[in-house]
Amino acid sequence: MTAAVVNDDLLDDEIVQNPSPYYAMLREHYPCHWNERWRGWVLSRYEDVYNALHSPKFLADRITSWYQNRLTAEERERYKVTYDALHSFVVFTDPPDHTRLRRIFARAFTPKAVQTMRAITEEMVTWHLDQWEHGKTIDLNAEFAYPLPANVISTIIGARREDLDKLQHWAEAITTLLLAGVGDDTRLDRAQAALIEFKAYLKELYDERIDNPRNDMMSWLMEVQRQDPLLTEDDVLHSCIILLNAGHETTQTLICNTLTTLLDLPKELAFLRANPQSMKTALEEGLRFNGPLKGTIRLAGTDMELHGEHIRQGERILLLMGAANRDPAKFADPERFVPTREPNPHLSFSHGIHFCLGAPLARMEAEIAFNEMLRRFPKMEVRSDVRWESRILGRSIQAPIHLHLG
Amino acid sequence: MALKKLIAVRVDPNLCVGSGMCVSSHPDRFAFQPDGHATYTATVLDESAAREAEELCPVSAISLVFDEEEKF
Repeated sequence: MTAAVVNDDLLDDEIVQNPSPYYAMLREHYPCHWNERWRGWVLSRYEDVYNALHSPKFLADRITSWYQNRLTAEERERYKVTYDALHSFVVFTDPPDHTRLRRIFARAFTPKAVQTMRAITEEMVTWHLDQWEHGKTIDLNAEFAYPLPANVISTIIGARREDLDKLQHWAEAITTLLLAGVGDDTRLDRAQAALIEFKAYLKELYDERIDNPRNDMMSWLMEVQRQDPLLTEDDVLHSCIILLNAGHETTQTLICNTLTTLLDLPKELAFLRANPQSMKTALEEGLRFNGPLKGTIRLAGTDMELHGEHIRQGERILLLMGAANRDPAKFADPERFVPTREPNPHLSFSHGIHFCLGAPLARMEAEIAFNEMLRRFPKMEVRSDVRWESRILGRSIQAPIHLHLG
Repeated sequence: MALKKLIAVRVDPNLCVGSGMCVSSHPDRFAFQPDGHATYTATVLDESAAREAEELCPVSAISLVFDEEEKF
């Protein structure tokens, strides 16, 4: 192994701004690479990332080991509330807990249920676009990509409209902890304070619905809980927190990344304007090409061997979906954006039992938003430089993104 | 009268993401294949289980195929 030639700084600006050459080098020469700086293994080939996402030997619970090994006894006591909440987040659990928690969402996020959310999304997209005027330049994040999915998911859950700002504040504090790219000593305290307030707020909504169920996600989840003796009130409240969180950050990034990518491709854009029915496949291609997450983390549940390397139980493994999505062994012409690519088995929503719960909602939101934007503002263009945020897992464009409406 | 008889339960491998909603709700009807995709494995065709799985699937990969004995 000649690992010395591999750049282990995943936040190196050259890699962050254009990860493709780095991914290609890893896939080709170091498919199972020990990254000394990150202290973990890195998988980059489609087949390996796919298999890892489907394998019970790769554990999703990286919270327990963090809590038990990285924190002092005193910190463990102080942050127990945070641990308990994070530990019941479905994304950080393995079977059998995962199977039980995932059941909560089974009926809340089916493609059919999402159709009932379509009206909310259409109304909100229209509301936003009605405020825009031709010739103006907007801040894509602040004026659309952030508030749209945040308001949609808050409304679906059943939050009161006047409380949306509070929810966004809490969600941000929790997301900052989860994406923990940069060391910030206050983030645990902020996240814990947010979790406590967030949960107390959701408990109010919960109590209001015990005798008066409504047509919202909180009520649907409560109905599932009533019929399933294994599910608790806490499970429902924590599930709402994770839904609100996931609905904020990732859909925002999906909208920004895909729109920015598309606006840079005049030919493909013209094609989509003429063929709005192809937006579905174009969106999948956007997910493959510049998905909101470059990678996800797993822990080795057992000792294993891969490409001649020995992975030991408990070691962490970075699964690079971003690299897998451009693996020429899986995708023809992977460095080209093909709006009609089909099938498109990208891994941007993960795969296997942790496949994104909100995928049908995210797909619907983005499709409605893009088609309506292209229809009303066919000449829009990005007027700011596209710079990618320095993050290990997330792939998002630095704000602000100036979108000229044409 | 149109007589609809269930003749197959299909899981589209191009759509299936292996979320396992079908497998965990009806383990005696659906199972994972070595490639990570789910398939309908039971020899009997259980329409209510198949319908539930169809509804729960997050990517709409499951479909029920009927033999429609309708007039020509």
